[in-house]
Amino acid sequence: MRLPRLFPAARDALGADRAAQALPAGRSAMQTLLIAIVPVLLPHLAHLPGWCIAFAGLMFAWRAWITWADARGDAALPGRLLLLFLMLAALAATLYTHRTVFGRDAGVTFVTVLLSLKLLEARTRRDVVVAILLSYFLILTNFFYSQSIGTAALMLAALWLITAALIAASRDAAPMAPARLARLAATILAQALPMMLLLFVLFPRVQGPLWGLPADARVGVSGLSDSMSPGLITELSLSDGIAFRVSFSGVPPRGADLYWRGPVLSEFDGRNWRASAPNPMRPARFEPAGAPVDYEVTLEPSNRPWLFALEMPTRLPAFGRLTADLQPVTDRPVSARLRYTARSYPGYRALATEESADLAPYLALPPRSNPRTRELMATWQLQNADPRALVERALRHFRTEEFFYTLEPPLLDNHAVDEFLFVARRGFCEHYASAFVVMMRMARVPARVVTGYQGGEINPVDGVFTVRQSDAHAWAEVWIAGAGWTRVDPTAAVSPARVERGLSGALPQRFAAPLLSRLAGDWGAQWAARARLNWEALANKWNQFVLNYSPDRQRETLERIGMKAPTWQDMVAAMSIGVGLSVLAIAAWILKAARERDPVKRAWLSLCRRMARRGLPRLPHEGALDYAERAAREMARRGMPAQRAAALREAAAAYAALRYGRESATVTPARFARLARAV
Amino acid sequence: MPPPVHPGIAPLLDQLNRIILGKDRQLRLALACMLARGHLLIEDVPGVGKTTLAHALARSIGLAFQRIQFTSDLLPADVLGASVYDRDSGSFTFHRGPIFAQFILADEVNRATPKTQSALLEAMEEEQVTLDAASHPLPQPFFVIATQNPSYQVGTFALPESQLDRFLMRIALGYPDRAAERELLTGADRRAAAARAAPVLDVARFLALQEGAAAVFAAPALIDYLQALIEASRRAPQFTSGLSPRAGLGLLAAARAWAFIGGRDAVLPEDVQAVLPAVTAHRLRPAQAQEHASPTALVEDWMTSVPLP
Repeated sequence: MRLPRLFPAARDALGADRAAQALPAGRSAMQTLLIAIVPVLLPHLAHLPGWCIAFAGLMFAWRAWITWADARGDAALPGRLLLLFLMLAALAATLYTHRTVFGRDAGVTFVTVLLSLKLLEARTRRDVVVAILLSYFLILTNFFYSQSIGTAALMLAALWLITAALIAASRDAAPMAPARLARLAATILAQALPMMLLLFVLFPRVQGPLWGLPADARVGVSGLSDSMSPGLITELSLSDGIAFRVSFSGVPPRGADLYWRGPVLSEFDGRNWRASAPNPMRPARFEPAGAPVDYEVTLEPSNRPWLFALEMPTRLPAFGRLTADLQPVTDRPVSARLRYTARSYPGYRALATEESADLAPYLALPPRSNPRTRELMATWQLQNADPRALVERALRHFRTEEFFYTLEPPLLDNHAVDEFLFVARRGFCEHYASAFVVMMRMARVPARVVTGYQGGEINPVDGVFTVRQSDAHAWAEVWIAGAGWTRVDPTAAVSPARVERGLSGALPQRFAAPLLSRLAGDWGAQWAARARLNWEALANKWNQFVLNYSPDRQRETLERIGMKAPTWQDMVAAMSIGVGLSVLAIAAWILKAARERDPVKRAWLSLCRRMARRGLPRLPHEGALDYAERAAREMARRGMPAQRAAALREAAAAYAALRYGRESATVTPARFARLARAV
Repeated sequence: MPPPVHPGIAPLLDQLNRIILGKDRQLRLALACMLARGHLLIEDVPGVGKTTLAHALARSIGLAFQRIQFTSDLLPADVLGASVYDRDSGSFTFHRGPIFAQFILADEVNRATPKTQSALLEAMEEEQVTLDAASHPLPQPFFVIATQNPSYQVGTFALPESQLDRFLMRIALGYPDRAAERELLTGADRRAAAARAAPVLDVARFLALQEGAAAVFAAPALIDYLQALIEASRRAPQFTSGLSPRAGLGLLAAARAWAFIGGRDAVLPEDVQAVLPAVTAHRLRPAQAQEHASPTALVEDWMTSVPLP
């Protein structure tokens, strides 16, 4: 097999003779390229502006028509003036849409448009090669938006097709059959694989998001926020997006203990809950008790400076700390996937050492709001003012009265808590938590809302817990003298199943719970659930080992293979050596592949090599019989035994008969192999 | 050990070897050329036995023999024949020329004018003579041995390449070696021996041998080698142009005949190499820088540069 010549175009382009540049296989190259562009641009449809999709689609369709259906062939391509006009119009539209041609979105839009126009002026091989290189670049741009396994697989397919187009464009002879083209492209990519792996492992890494892109790479991440308004968590619960993954080093805690603590909200304006400004002077205090739980969290980027940990964490990574509200945070927004280990004590004891001045913010309420609730709480307070009794009474109220846990709560007006408690009586966890905290504050019991995630789903394939946005939850904490901040989950009173079995267990089927969480609960669709679990295990591996291959991980990996404290210079050196070796190995493999496949010829060549080592080389053009004759004479001259010359003659005659003769029963490859060995 | 011979050809070859001494290889080439239905050009200095060889061949196979001595005043009609007015019948009748024979010896063909040369060569190619809009087919088998003196001799018209291409082979006889020379000097007259030679074959058996030669098997691997050779000749810097497709076909036919004479039913690369100089040396024009090199040496260079596939 020969290595394909990839860029004869570079030579051709220098010559002035345009006829020499014309592609003999141009049509086949253009067809392959047009097919290859489909997977490249498919994911971009989601974020390209509408005019760009329409424009580029029209141009591609035009080019496809000319390539497949127009008898005039390339003569039907539009003139330069029209293309220039279209290009300027596209540039103007890009500028109008994005206000720039730089940056991720504008860049992708403009390159897409340019590619579509380039195809329309591609007459020579050089033009086609330029279009192919542009397509390679467009493959890269897809990873600006998504780095999932699916995207990677699709782009691999695109890479394969574009490489096939490049091979088609590089051919001087007649077009290749599509199957051969595909096979050759796959071979070339397979040969590039070791180099790719080496570069991946050894290329010095930098910390940060994948491409260090401008701010537009960080928008549109869904997740918890630092305020809570009715409906926020309801919205999140419709999302299958993953918040973080956890792998426990021991036995995972019970589902009811899986409260992943996030933002603590204590300021209420009658409708929205907000976090209070952090007070760095107040320390976080609680007492670890019970058995500790160790685990590792892989946090998806949220663009928030929050970490999530099981209540209550004692050990956080170096970059994390606990606020006075016992919320785990970090210094910078999490813009790339983050991995950390933590230790928590689910059976912790809070400390009842707060000063009453410190508790004041947890009693604040907007004035003159929710009069009916205020009235109700006043009655309850008269009957029993003990905070524990009030908490019990409120929970019993939720449990015994007609309250419903629903994803379709009615809209509430200004006195939201009144409305919820006395009229609507339907809500999601944020409604219950919010109403409960307001009720407690009215009864002069300090209380606050804690948001975070509850539960998670264990993947039996790899034992990893996946916590999704749909696991977002809000609960309450009340301060009880002598016991400190105590967790109360009013949702559990209304719908115990929410805490025990997750969201899909708590909602009737008709509610629009995310498709995946419904499937997981559906006994009849167990295979789908299992497939999903396997997929998620794979996706987790992908995240851990491919996307999250950070400087730390790189150092770990390299130290494991024996590089002590590698610097970037070491990595570059190792990379150069490795790439050099892999190129040599591939070259050796190709040369070996060029080795003879016909066993008869191989045996003959091996015989000739053996003879050459004894000083009787066969000349390259020498036929078997001539060679045997000459070698026999030479052997006789050296006084070697005549049997050996005879054996060589016999083997040579058998070879000649096998290779050049008609098929015969007397001379078989096996017999020849025997004769050849006997020499 | 002498190379093996096909049993049907051995008596013929033996007889020829008795008449032409020490030229086994040239005799085999000449025979291979006849078996491959090609025409032979013998180029050598006068007096090395060209005519004797032609005589011996014709008589041994039992073919009707005609000799045409080419001179500078020979006209096409002297070769082909002419229409002569017959006073009795009042019409023109065609009088056949000496070319109407099965075996023609065109002696010293390069002495004739180009016009006469081309009359002969066209008849060879078409195997018929066309005169006054009437075609007169030549007898079968039809075989021409042309001899010519090397073209640097005085008073000759060298055959142009287009004409040379019509000869399947060009061979040179060369001087005899010492032993053959001595036998030549002490023994009987060779021409007389050739004239006395009894036919060892008849025409029917000769035609059967021709068919046998054409049926020799050429394996795909051999065709690969042939193609590699032809492609290399087209790229080789020592030639201005490579082998034509006709030359390629001729090469295969000659190699088949050579294998057949050797008693084999399949062509080997050795067979191709054996006939290669004779079949190709007169068709390949040396590049300017190589003008003074021997054509045979150039062919040798080219052949050794192509490895067996």
